[in-house]
Amino acid sequence: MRTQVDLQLSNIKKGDMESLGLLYDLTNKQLFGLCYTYFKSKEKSEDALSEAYLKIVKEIQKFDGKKGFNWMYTITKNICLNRLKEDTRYTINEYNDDMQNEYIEDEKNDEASTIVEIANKVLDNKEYKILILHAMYDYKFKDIAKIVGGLETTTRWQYNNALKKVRKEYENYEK
Amino acid sequence: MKTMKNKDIEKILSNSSDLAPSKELKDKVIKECTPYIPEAKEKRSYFPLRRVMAFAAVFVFLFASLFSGLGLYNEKYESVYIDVNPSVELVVNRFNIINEVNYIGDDALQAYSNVKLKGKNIEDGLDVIMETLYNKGYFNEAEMYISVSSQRGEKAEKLLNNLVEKAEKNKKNKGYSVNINKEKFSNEEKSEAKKYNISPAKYKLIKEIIEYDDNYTMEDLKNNSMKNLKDIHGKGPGRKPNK
Repeated sequence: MRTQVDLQLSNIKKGDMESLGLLYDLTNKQLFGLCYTYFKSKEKSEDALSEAYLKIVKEIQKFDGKKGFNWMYTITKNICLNRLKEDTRYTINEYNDDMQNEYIEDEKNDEASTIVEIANKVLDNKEYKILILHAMYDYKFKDIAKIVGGLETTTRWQYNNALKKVRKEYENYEK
Repeated sequence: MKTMKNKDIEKILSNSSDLAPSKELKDKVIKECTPYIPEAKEKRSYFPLRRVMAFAAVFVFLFASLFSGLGLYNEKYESVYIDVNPSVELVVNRFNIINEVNYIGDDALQAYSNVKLKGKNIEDGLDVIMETLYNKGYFNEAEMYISVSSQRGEKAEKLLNNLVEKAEKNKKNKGYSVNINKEKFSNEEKSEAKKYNISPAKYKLIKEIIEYDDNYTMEDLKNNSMKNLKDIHGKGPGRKPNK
């Protein structure tokens, strides 16, 4: 997959528009997951993701041909951090009809939403990030370790620990 | 109480469309990014210096080869003598192409006047000569001698053997009534033969006859056919040299 990302980035650099769609298909899930760990909001994550792709294309000439996904990840992360800094100036708990409807959309996702809410509630930021990135977005532990900082073995332990916490809380919730 | 396994959590989370970007986002991203995608670069239409130099080098090499080839083409490399009576000298270059034809005696000139030999490969030339001789009635229990004179002995030997083999093949295929002989001679014999305007093979045969019988002279025998000379020499089957 990583090699494909490098290829599509190189093609975009040469002016191939079609490669943008392919690049999006290859990377959107992982980068969205990264954004979600920061914002815990689908809407905000999509905004950040959209801005990330725009910046990637604007700065495509800086891409040196290798480790493309890592390059895209860094851009996305910096956008998320910058947006978080701006967001802290405003009230986070904004309410509007659209946000309400997002969670009523699909009954099948109720349980998933519950789990995510529980995870958000019982886990600290790092544990939450590790859980979402691995369970939801298939990030490998060694990559997550680089993101959150620390060793791979430690990250793996933190993941299992986070799962235990969420499971315990979920079971209490079901009672 | 419901228990939840790790796999359950992971499966639920991974199947949650709520935690994935919407399908509309892709169109939005592409629309927003399109104006910023760099223009496709056109292929530069230049002639790289390296290619030019490589091309020039090849051209010079071919040109030089051609020139040197022309020199080699006209080089007198070997002489092939075909003696029946008439006798002819075919001078070939190193590519075995006939680049000079010397008719030895008036009968040779008469026999081969309408035959184009120059420019032919020596083996093709041999085919033509044999066919001509046959058509003109020279192949009637005749003796044909093939000899080669060369600066390089090994090459002469090889060419000679090839020509004899070729002649034998022609004889068999076309039913020519001719006996094929091969002969070698020294440079001295070659230069002496020139004085008498005969082929080296003929000179050598006559010389051997004279050694056996000094009643003969070069002038007496030089106009004889190879068959007659061979008969006199005694090399025919069952014959001994006359003394």
